[in-house]
Amino acid sequence: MKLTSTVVALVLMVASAALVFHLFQRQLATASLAFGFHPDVLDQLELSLDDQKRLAWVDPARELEYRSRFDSLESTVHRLQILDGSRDALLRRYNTIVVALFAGLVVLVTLTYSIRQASQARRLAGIQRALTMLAGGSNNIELGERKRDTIGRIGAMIEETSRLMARDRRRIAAMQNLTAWQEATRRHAHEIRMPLTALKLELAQLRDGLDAGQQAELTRTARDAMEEVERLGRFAERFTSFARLPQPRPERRDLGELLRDFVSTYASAWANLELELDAEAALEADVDREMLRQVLVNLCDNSSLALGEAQGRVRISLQRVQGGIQIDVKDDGPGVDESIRSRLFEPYVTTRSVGEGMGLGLAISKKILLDHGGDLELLDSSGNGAAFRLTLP
Amino acid sequence: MRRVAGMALLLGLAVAAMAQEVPRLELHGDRHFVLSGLPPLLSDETIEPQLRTGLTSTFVFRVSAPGARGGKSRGGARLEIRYDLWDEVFHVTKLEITGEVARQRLDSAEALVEWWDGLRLIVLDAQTVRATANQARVELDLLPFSRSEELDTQRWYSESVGRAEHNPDGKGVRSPSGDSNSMEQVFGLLIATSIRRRPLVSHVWTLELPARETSP
Repeated sequence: MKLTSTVVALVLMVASAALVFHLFQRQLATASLAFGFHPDVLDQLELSLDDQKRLAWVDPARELEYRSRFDSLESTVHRLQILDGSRDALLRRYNTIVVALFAGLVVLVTLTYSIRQASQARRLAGIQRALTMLAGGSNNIELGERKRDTIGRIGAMIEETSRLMARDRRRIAAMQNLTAWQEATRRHAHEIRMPLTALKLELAQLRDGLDAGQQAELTRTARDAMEEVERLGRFAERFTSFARLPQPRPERRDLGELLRDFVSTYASAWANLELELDAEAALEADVDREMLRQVLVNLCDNSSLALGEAQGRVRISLQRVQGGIQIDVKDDGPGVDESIRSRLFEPYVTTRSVGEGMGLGLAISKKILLDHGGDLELLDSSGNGAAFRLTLP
Repeated sequence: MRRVAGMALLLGLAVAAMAQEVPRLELHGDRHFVLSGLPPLLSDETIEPQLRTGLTSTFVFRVSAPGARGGKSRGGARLEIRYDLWDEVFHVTKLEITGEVARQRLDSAEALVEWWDGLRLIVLDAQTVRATANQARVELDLLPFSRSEELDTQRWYSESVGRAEHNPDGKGVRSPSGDSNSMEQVFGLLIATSIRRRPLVSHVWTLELPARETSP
């Protein structure tokens, strides 16, 4: 690019110099012709004037003709005399024009070169912005580059790449959606099939009991059947709770006090967890107390399940930052599996076996924080445990 | 060698003598100032050949003196001398501040010198000059050709540039492609406008004004 510009500039410069030289050479030749600088020219013309007069004296019959020639010659002589007398002024003017012409051409070339450079810089900045957008994941980038030079070709390639990336993202999203649905279906089927199987067995036992007339066995079987039905009901409740998640009703609350209450109330809710709190005093925010508590319960549930049989600790800290309040919830468990980090907050995403959870907890928690105007993020998912950050405005 | 030195000395003395000669201003009927006693400029080594060229040589006199109403009172006169190369006579024209134009035909250089020596030019209106003013400034420029000759040469030059460019034999056949021709004509015109009348010789004198009777 730089080489091309330099070559263009050089070509223009050489062309300008050639043009100036051409004009100089031609005009100098013309000027010399017109000036008749050589004294012999004037001498010869003056001799011709004398000749016309002599001819008229010798041949008076043609005096008018000679007089006419004389007048014409006289005019030429006078013009040459005037030019000769103005020679210095003429040359000064000539030099001024040539220098001005050359200066004008140099300015034109410089201007053209500068405009071209500025245009290329602007286009390169556009390419840089487009690459930044591409790196940031923007789709369908349009640069509007119409020229087919190197920059234009790069621009076209960026546009094509962004289109391909957009298409691939749509495919991936569709596949992820399909996978999520498959997972959800599998989990739903399992959750429904287990109590149905149990119900089927209980009903068979009930039928057998009826035949044998075993009252006690009948009562136990009926109770078990009811439990399975209730289990189905709880499943349906959980399943619909995600879809019918209500909007928060925020009230001004002291978050330090709210967290102290939570730690105190749930201190023994998880057998393998010890809750700790590090909260500044009197940090108030508009929150729905029950919903925030639900988020904390979900996070602690996850920590407890991740620890399994091991003992662990969940540390909750509260701090004010510029633009809001942060609540960090950090455990010392095994952390979040690498394979699901990027999709952790999507529904039905979990590492647990089917039947051990629906994978809706984090999705619900994220939705609650977003409804509060805040966010829920995974901070640290290394082997030292998982850390989530709740941000509130 | 001695002869050359002697001639140079004589020439130097002549020039010095001429330089010391100055015209004078006289009153003409209490209404005008008249410039007379012009130095013998016609025999000047620059002017004499100029007068023989056949071009119209113009002597422009500009006179200024303190004005009666403040500022300056200005006047002047103009003399045009043209040598007719065919008839070998001088045509002279005198234009004074009164607006009067006088034309004469002089048959020889001697007659021209005689005419010059006897010249009395009305150059300034005495009524417009401050009564107490006792000096006037007189400027003389000799222009080597007339305005019409200047214009004619400018036109001829700018035309000859284009003609010589496309047809060196000067017959004036135009090129079918007019762009280059137009550009050269513009170029020629730009150069041609530098052909202007510039004084060939200039003199400045500060002259005594004759005493006038002050009105009661």
